[in-house]
Amino acid sequence: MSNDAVLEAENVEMVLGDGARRVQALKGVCLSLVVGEFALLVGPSGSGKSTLLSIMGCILKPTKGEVRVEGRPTGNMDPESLAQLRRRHVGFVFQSYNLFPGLTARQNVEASLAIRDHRAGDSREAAEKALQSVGLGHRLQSLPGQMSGGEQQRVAIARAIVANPSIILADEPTAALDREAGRGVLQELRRLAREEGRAVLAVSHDARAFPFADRIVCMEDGKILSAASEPDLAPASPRISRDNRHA
Amino acid sequence: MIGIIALKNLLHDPARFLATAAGIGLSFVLVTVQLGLLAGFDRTISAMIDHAKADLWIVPAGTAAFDDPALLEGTLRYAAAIVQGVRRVTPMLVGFAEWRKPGGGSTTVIVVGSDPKTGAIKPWNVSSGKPYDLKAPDAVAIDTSYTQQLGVSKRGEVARIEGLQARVAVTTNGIRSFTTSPYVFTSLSQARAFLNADASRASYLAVQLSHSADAALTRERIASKLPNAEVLTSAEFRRRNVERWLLETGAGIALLAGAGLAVVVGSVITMQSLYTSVNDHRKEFATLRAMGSSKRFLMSVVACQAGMCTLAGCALALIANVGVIAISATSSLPIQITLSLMLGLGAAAALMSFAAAFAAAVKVGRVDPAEVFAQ
Repeated sequence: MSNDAVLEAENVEMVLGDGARRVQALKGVCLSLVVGEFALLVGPSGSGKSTLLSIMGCILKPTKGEVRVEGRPTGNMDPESLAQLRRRHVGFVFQSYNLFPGLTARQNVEASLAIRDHRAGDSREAAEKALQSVGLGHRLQSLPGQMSGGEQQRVAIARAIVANPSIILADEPTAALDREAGRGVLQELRRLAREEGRAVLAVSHDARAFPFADRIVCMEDGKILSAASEPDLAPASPRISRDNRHA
Repeated sequence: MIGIIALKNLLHDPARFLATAAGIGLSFVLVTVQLGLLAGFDRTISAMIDHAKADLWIVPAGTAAFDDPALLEGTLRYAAAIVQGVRRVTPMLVGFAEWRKPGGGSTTVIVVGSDPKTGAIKPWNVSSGKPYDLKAPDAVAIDTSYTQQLGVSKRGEVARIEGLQARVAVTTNGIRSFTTSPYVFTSLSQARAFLNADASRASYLAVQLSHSADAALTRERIASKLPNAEVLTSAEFRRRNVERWLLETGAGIALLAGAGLAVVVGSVITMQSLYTSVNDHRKEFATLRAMGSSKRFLMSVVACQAGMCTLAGCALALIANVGVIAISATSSLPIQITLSLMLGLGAAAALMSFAAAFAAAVKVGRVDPAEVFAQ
């Protein structure tokens, strides 16, 4: 594991269901994420990408293994402590945005601060700033239904970053977007990593996302098969590294 | 922000919000109507006792209700009057009689006879004439809500009670009887004539105490002198009257069961409506939880949402209730909304809202934040 790692998974195993429906979703996965890095988690459906993202986001607890957030082990934490950890360190971006349909863009972002007990006045200012940083300064009062998919996803990104978390986890952030909007979202995620020094981990099926990532982690059948650095990758034939431990 | 999230959650789908509020409102109308009927029932059957000037009632032993009296010996009045602490004892005569309409046909009435000047009970809500007008021979007071049944509509019209002339001298508004027989007020002497009772006899003796009298002690003293009669406080007589009609008749039991059922059904509808309203936003709650929201925050949103739905439901119910009360005002069993009933319903609303919010909050508290990744 790297000393700069803000998020680490070590020998993580996950078993879902029981009896005949028992599935080992993750098999001894090790993955670490460092400051300023945009890593992409890729692989076929059912390979365990979203499960790993949930575990690294402290939403699911692994059956075995350990997840550390900024060096803190999370294995013995109760659900409330894990929620507190997520509030402090993690911002989430979801595939279908998961915005409150009745709240304006600004209120959606403010909600992220409200759960962190921020004062209303400060929240409003911070929310506006976050929206401006993702290019939506002109959409403060728009409802999600009045915005395009790309704009909604950028609101979701603003919501994820407004509380200044060190880690951003994104689940298929471009899956519901067209080419241009997806490109905008990926650029934004890369900017957050490179310019703001956040650690970004995104699950994606989309090969068009490869050029934006610093590192691509390939998963299959609950294991990390390989990892490659973006400059070494050609979109059509990514170079494959065999080092799971340092993926 | 909690309030904004709760409000916007609800207002985002106005039709669903309206349906929830309507469900809650309907349940409150149901409960209000049934409990209001019960309160109206209580008030109607106790109206005579409530309007009588009596600290104590001397009633024939075993009397079950005001409308169902026997007769007391006249001498009891004097025995009671000399008891220390008693200021005044006034006789009252009550009984069923046949009312023959001037245009033909007859109906049964309850004659209530009491001295128009010193008696314990006089007609109230007088719309024409004066209670003292009953002093005149053959004068009676009727309620305007029974004009059709009695075949008379205004002062001066004449009918017959048990073959004797009865001239309408006073009319009242809203003195209704729980039974199908209207009350007809008259003087004590005229009532004795109508009911063919001896001049010394009475159905009840209304006892007024002097200001310094010890009510319990005076009551004991009176009771010791009247072995064939009971001495009741107004509250006791009222309770006995209500219990007689409420618990010993099918109508009362049906009303009581209806009120109980309304409370149960209303509670279920309210809780179900609120629960569904919260559950409809499960995705949003799961998102908040995934983002790191504490259970306390989620439950606050849920409680706020439930409170808003309840308030909206109560507002709708209030509007509906005004209409229902107005419609029932002229019926034989008006819906009565008292302050205590309103306070009780308010407390019930808060309780149901709290219970529903609690049930929904428990569910929301168990929302699996991983759900957000499964979409």
